[in-house]
Amino acid sequence: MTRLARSPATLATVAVLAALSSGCRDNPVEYRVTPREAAAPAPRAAQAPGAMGAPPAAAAGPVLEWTAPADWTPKPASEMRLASYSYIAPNGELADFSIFAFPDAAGGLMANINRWRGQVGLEAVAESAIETTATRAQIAGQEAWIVDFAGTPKSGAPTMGNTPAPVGPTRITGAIVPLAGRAWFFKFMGPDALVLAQRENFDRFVASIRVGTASGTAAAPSTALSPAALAAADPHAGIPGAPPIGATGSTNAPANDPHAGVAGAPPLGPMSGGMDPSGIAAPPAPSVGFTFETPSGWVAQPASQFRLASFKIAGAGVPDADIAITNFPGTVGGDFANINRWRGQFGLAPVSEAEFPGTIQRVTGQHGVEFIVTEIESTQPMIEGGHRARMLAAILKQPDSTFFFKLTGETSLVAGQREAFVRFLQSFHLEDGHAH
Amino acid sequence: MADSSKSPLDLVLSALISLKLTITCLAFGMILIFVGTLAQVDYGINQVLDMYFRSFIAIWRVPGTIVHVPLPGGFTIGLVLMINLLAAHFYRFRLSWKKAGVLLTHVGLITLLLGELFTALYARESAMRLTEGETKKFSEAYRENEIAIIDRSDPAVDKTLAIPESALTPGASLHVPQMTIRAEVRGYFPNSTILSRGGQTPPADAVLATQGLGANLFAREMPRVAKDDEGDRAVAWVELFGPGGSLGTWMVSNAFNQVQAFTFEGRPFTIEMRPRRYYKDFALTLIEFRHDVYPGTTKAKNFSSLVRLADPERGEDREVLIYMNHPLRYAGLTFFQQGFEGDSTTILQVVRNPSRHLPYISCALVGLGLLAQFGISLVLFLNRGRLPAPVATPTP
Repeated sequence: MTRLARSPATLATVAVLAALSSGCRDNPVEYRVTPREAAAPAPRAAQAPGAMGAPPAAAAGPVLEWTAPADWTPKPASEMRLASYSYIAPNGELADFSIFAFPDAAGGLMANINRWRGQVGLEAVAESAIETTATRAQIAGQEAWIVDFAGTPKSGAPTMGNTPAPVGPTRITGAIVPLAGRAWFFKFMGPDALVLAQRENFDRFVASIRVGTASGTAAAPSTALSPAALAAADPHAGIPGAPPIGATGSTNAPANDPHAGVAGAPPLGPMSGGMDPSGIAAPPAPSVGFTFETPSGWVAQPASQFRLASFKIAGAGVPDADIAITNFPGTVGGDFANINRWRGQFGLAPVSEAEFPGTIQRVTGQHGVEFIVTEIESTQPMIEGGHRARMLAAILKQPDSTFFFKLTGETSLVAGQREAFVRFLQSFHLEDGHAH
Repeated sequence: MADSSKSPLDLVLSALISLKLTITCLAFGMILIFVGTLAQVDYGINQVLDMYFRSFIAIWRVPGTIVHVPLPGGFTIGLVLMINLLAAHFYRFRLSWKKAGVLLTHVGLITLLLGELFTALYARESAMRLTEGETKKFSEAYRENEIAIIDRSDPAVDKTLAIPESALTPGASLHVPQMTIRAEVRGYFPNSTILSRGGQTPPADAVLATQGLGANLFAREMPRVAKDDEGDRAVAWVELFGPGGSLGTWMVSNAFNQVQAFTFEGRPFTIEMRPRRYYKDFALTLIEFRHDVYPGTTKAKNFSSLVRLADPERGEDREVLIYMNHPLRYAGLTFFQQGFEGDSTTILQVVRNPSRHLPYISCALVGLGLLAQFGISLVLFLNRGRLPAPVATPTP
């Protein structure tokens, strides 16, 4: 044996023994000084409905305000989108309008324009080509840029909001407004012809953009919109997935007195300006009037933009369960499609047409109306604290609209409310004017 | 068979350098992989790693029975293999250039074994969850929590006393010199059921909170959950002290969906249990998350996160696109695209593994070693063919 071979071997042995004897890693108590966070970085589900939401980037300095066209439907957008709208054409095609703000142009103006170009399948252009790619404009008194281009997204196009990716010719019309060290992005994206047809509305929107009066407050669009609050109040928000297909939403949901045992929601009129300038009628908003009995333990919550009524059931040691009553025009894709979409949100495989009847139950309510009820349980933890989630959902079809009743929460908490949920459905009474 | 003339030391040595020991270890290794794979029916991958491969003894329960079979764990097998290999070099091999390939191959094997050991000891995985527009300087542990006691009096910064779950030994007194507040651990359950004191009477020995959310609750300890897709509901009780004495006892749990606020020395504080945070000295901002699907379907094709990496100290400020098989490697960390929530929140897996290069080095060494060994043998063989023919013995 030579020294040469002996020394690395010895070293290796010593290294192994040292590593083993040191055993587990030490875990000292730490002291950290970190940039200020929001006072209560509580998860979204815990936020109070009605709380004003804006990304941290938008929390200070001057902000922009705007007025959205009446037939653009506010969406329960993601938390960090300052606002989000969709425009649904009568043929069901959908365009997505989103608003973001990032510090100092998030990588440069051209990089952002090129990212948008990439989303519609166009080649990137050089910085020097900006004058031919974008148009200078004065927006809210700022030197801003307007872009407008169309192309066909390459395979695997980006999703637009909650909708499937565009497949055909797609157009992005956008505005980029620098304001006090931040860049505001207004992006309207959808099928080419649809976005083109909405150009007038887009221009009107851009003309409405103004610097907010209340400096230091979050963006407060004049359409009384609080996207983060919507996201917080909407059970879809914490779940990968989407609001009901074609959710055109009845805006201006009444703040019906949630504390009365029987909540009555006055009929909702159609949205103001239901006719857009091009003469295309906006989807009709339903008129809704109903009463019901609130089971014990269900605590009424303020109604929100998309909710006719909302309740919470306190969970001991688990997050509270959430109950939402919503109403959407039309069939919203039908019960088969909706139940499969919900299953997808809970990580379950869709059921076939043949299996479908086995996944539902029918509950007869007041005046013989029939609710289709389904129960879905996730296989993976979905809600805070690592719990699996369960949803009891009921669908009530009406001639011109569809009601959805959803009870979502931790598995056992929801299971314990099954009887109360059915009793609640049985007490649900539609006011006159609705077919029974 | 042992020679009776050998001393006990010789016997041990001959066992240690024996090739039979190598074969036995490899056989146990195969058994361990087999039972470790079966065990994933009942346990998550992390539990299986800890139970079978990152332990000295693995207890295998034969499925469908109550029979428990002890097996050497991964650490034991690796350690014995390593000793076997080193001992063989000490006592059997003679260093010669003809054996250079074998030596190189063995050094490669040792590197592989050490690499796995260092990974087991020092690798750390966590997750960074970012929503479009959001900037973060920290990632969060998957399964470990921390108690954060935060002084929120400064409008610019949060001053945090962070206590990792592993430091929650009842009776432990925890503090840092920068803060006058001190925490004493009164109780800790890694997993629990939280109950209302109104509904049930807590057992006589239960730890009870006097302040905050827990003033009406108590908890029962539960066995830790074994599956990856289920989470523990950890709960701890800490009594906080200022210079003037006790402020009360708080119950904290990762199941609570809100922080608890209190005032100390006229300043606002909060206390909460949350996933353990690992702070970085750089920040990531999510500019855009894309979830591409195959056209006309909802089938996922690609997920990608466009992030901005800002590190003023190293002068870095650039955009990076993270997508499948294209992680961001920076400052000893690797950021992989792991998952998403909704359409604008991405989840990046953050891996710190200082020994991640060792398997590559090992494979290269083993490959080179084998090549050298076969090459040397070939040259020797060919040279033998060219040797001058033996001088013929004159025959009559």
